[in-house]
Amino acid sequence: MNRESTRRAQLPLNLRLRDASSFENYLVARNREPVERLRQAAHSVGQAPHSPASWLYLWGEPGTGKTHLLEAACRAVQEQGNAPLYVALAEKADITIALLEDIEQVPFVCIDDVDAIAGDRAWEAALFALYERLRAQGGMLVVAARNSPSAIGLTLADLATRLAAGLVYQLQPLTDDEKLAALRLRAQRRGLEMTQEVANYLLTRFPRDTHSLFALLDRLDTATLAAQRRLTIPFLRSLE
Amino acid sequence: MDRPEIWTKCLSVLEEELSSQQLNTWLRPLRAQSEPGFLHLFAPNRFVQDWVKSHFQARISEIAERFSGQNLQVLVEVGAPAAAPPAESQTIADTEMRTGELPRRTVTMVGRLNPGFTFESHVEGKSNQLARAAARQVGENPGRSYNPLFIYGGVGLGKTHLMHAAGHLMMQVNPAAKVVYAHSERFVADMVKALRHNTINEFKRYYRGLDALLIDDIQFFVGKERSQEEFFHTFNNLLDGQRQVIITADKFPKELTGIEERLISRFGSGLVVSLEPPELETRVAILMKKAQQENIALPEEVGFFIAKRVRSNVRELEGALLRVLASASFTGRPIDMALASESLKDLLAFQERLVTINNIQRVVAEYYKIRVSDLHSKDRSRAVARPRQLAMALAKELTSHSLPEIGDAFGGRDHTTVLHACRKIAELSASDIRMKEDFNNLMRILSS
Repeated sequence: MNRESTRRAQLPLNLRLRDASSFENYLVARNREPVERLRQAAHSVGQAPHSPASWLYLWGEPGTGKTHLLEAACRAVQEQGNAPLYVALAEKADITIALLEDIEQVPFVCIDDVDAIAGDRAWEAALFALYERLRAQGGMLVVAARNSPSAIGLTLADLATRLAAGLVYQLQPLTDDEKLAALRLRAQRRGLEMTQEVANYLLTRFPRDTHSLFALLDRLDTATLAAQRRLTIPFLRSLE
Repeated sequence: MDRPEIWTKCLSVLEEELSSQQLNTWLRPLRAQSEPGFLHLFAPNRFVQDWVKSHFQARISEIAERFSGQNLQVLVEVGAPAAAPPAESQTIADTEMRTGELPRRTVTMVGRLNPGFTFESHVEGKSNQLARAAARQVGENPGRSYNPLFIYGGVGLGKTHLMHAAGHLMMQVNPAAKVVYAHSERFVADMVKALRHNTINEFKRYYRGLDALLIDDIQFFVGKERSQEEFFHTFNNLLDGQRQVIITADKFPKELTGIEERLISRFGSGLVVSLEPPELETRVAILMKKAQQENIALPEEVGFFIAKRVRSNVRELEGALLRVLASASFTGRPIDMALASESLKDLLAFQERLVTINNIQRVVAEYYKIRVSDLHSKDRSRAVARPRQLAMALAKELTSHSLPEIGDAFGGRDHTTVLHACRKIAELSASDIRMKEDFNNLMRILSS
């Protein structure tokens, strides 16, 4: 059997090393302050009560890592034995506002994609109620959106102004160089060796938003595993 | 109490099997307790409980049994483990909620007064003079001066602050007074629960036994007839017994459509005062006072800088200050105009509108007075080639398109042409002032 057919015969196992979102595989770049605030908040759950003055509102364009950070925070909270809750409002078709009821005893609540419910009175009122209850209980709230609190089109002014009353941070997108670094960091954490040349090659030939790049990394991880090849430019060319 | 090891093990297996979103929404909020033969999982509410039961319970049982090596029954309940960690039971309400499987929440919503909202911490200005004086009167003579006191105004203007300040004053005069603050939304939600759990009499007794009731944001009663009815009786009961009621709303009583006429007319039977947005001087004074409370010296020019940009309400004003102070403490930088301007950008900036390659081509063509079709053409004269290169460089800078995509959008050029254009523009910007200016101007136009 020649080498080529051996390679083809190898199928990737479904068990791969997952790189779940964590603070360690997030490239901080220009977002040191918000990331550090979030990390501190996640690590101080169950110590002193939080107040809205320390609550976080993180906003930024798609691909700035909002979901990644929220998931990383939940993971950190869980690792310390506490029970966080993460709600992705972009998936609101699958859930109802009942999900937000009675959760004030949850010490750490992350609400992702809050812009997805802007204009929906019932959801806005439910979030408002959650805000007030969480405040009374001393819980921690982290909200993520594409835009600043006053710009996402919330109709309930009580909610919009409350969200603006905590610490509001814009997440800065990565520059091309930082994307290279982020890509290599991710690859490395998966045990995939990616040279600077390969990273450069990817960045000059494929869409450069982080979602596409990380999805590409996923596919390459599978492809190299299946072909039992290292990640080289000739290998990439062979895929095109 | 540490989380049972068996649950930690289950979670680590599930982490491999499920998406982060599923894990974070449904499984991480569960709290676990194990006893021989059982693993109890406590969901924060019924919705999570139902979801976990129908989607994950079977799999959790399998994993748990595999790890424990015995028959283990997994029970998904609502509530909290019997002996919850003390760090998490910080309030009375929280403790009350741990007593039964279904939390009985008839009186848990009532908030104590916020210690930060006093007359001392309130800044007087033209916009709030009357309301402040009325609240002070009421605080000093509860039940006897203006009853009810109805304070209305836009969001974040300090209605809640004045209401609490009056409550504090009542407590100073009579420390044994039962003064209770309740947000209307909470009143409604808890009444609904009381009805559901058959504790409505307890609910009524509680509210009717108060010395003063401060009820916030009455506009949340709009359209909720049963709650309005209950509130009407509570309200009359308190008023008849000369006990003080303070109400806030975002509108003048008569403008509260969706609230019963009889309630509205009772709202207007005491004193109705309004709060206006604070003028610049008051906004600056609010910031200075807030900073002073935090023991921070806020330069006046920074105070003015923030106050000029955040006009509509005090809540956002304080949020802006908070953010500036947070950044100063994080970075160790002095509180100055540069820091304030960076911080406010996060709070107020609208996201730059999405820049497309088409848009870039249009703007660049306009800027150089050429046609968009020139940018797609094969014309290599400098008058066209330079703007084309500049547009390519801008497309690389401002969009996430791949270089081949950018090349395509410029008349089907190769990605190496794009790369060359970017290098050329970077090189020229460093040596040619006009080029640099053009580049900066275009960046500004496109990203503002």
